[in-house]
Amino acid sequence: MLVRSRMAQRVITVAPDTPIADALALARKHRIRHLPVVQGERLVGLVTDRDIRLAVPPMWADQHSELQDALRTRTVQEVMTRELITVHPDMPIEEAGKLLYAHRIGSLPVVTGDALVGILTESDVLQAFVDLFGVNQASSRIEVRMENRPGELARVVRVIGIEHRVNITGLVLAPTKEEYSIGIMHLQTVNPTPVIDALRRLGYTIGWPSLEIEAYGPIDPADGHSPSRGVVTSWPE
Amino acid sequence: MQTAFVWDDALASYRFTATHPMNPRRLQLTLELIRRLGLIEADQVVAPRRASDDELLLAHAPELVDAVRRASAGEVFPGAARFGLGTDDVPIVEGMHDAAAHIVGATLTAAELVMSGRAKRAFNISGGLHHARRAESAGFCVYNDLAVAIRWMQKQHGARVLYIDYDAHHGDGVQWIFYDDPDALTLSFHESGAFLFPGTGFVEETGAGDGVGYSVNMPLDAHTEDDSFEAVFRALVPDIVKAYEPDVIVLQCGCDAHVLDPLTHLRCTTGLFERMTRLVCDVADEHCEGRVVATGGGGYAIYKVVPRAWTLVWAALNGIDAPDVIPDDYLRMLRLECGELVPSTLRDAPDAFLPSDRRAAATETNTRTLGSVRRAVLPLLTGWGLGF
Repeated sequence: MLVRSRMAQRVITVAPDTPIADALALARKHRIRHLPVVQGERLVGLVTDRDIRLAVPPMWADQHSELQDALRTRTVQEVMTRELITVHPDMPIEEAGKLLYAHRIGSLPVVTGDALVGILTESDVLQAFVDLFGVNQASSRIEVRMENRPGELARVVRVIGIEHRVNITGLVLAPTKEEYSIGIMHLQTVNPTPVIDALRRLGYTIGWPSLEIEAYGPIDPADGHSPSRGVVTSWPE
Repeated sequence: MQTAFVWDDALASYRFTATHPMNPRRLQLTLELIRRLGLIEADQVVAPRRASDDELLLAHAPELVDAVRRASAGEVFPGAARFGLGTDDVPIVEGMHDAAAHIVGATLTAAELVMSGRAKRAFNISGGLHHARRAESAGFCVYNDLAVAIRWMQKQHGARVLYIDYDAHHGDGVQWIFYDDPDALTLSFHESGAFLFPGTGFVEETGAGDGVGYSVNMPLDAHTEDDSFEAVFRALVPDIVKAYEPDVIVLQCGCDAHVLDPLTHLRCTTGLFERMTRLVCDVADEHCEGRVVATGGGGYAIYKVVPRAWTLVWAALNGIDAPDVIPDDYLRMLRLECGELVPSTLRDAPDAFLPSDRRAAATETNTRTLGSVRRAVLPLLTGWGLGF
């Protein structure tokens, strides 16, 4: 999954000499928080609602007319971020996600050469992640605990797809401790029980509805943090 | 007539393979139990009429009907999978078009009886095939009898239809067919799509276009028991009926939320289906002259659960308090047939099943989800700021 298939292509932009008030109005109208600043096609900066809030001293909020004047006379080039982290449309989406996370930013302008071709926001990445786990077709979700060694996944998939002729419409391998991996699979059937029985007979542990619930039981609020927030470290025998 | 029972023996010909979970034997066993308990008069049984092709096309694409006709010859053909045919869920079997269309005709008959006033309510236990989509069969369902009947009532009677579905699986087929239609409100209670087929039916699915607000979903925790299920049902159904003011209620009575059902994780008992059906009848009496078109649906514990559950539903639709004890000769017949002990009362005893250790967590999750559902849809149905 590449950035190009997940980015917004029709980007709302402003010119460097746009008054801040106009940029704010534009952002509110389109319900967005990031406005790339372009000169012609060339990307020269990015202005966010945060840039504007930081640039306008809070005391002005008490002096309403002065604030309005300032927003009208000052332009976005005075408050925009110039040092941008940008990505190429062919970057894998997980790389872009890492950049957003590592730099604690909300969006990545997508650029080829100097030209702005799109924008990828944190919600676009989140949506891609949700889609990976989620369903496009009616299906049943099961979890399969496998030993983490070559051929195990192939064996499981063989049982499901070849022996039981059930279509697999989604597959994610969740990170666990090294001996095991957990496959979260979406099977295109209302009745996964024949597949589950066959896999259990071969010694696999199946979660249906969920291994995790069985593994952890109730969360103790006094703990401060729950194990499910981090990498899974143990699974039930 | 208070309540009609739509039935003929051909309805039991909707069957796939010998090991397929959707076994029409459960329908015969249900009617047999209702008869042995003396809960039905001869004149309450009404034979179904045929559904015409035009009627099937009210809810389905012509390509799907053509494909099912082809499959009906009993042979797999190229491209069948595109229509969801020839899978383990919907295998290709000879005569499947006629069998499926006959069920559509039976639900249409139930709708006709109710809308003409010949019966206040009607029950088609063979219907409730809620997974079939406009152009695709799915999840044991070839044609969507519910969607056809809803469209028919809209067209013939200008009816505003409220669809309520308490099957353990999300009523996705009906939801998607009416997703942008404000004249059919779909309300589905089901085990969360995070754990169960079809993987949809989340709170955020509230409709599209003109239909925004007219698709309501109450996904339940996998370990939900009677009291929590009933609490959320009572917290939503009366308010939605009041806000929507339907002309008729279509009720899908799948009983696979039962703890003994092999295909779901919910942990409910037969008495729940009786109480929920009663509640629906009460609000229908108050708001739409009692009109309820009820169907069967899921239910795969065919000896231990389905006959008991749907006998209670039938009694509730009639406003009768069914006796609890099942006659000995019926129990003997069942035991001989399935080779196992079966419960001897219609309603499961309160201590028949151990509560799950996830009971409290499930109840808490459901209460929280209920809040989200109310915030998401009730303002759209009642108008902003009117008490919600």
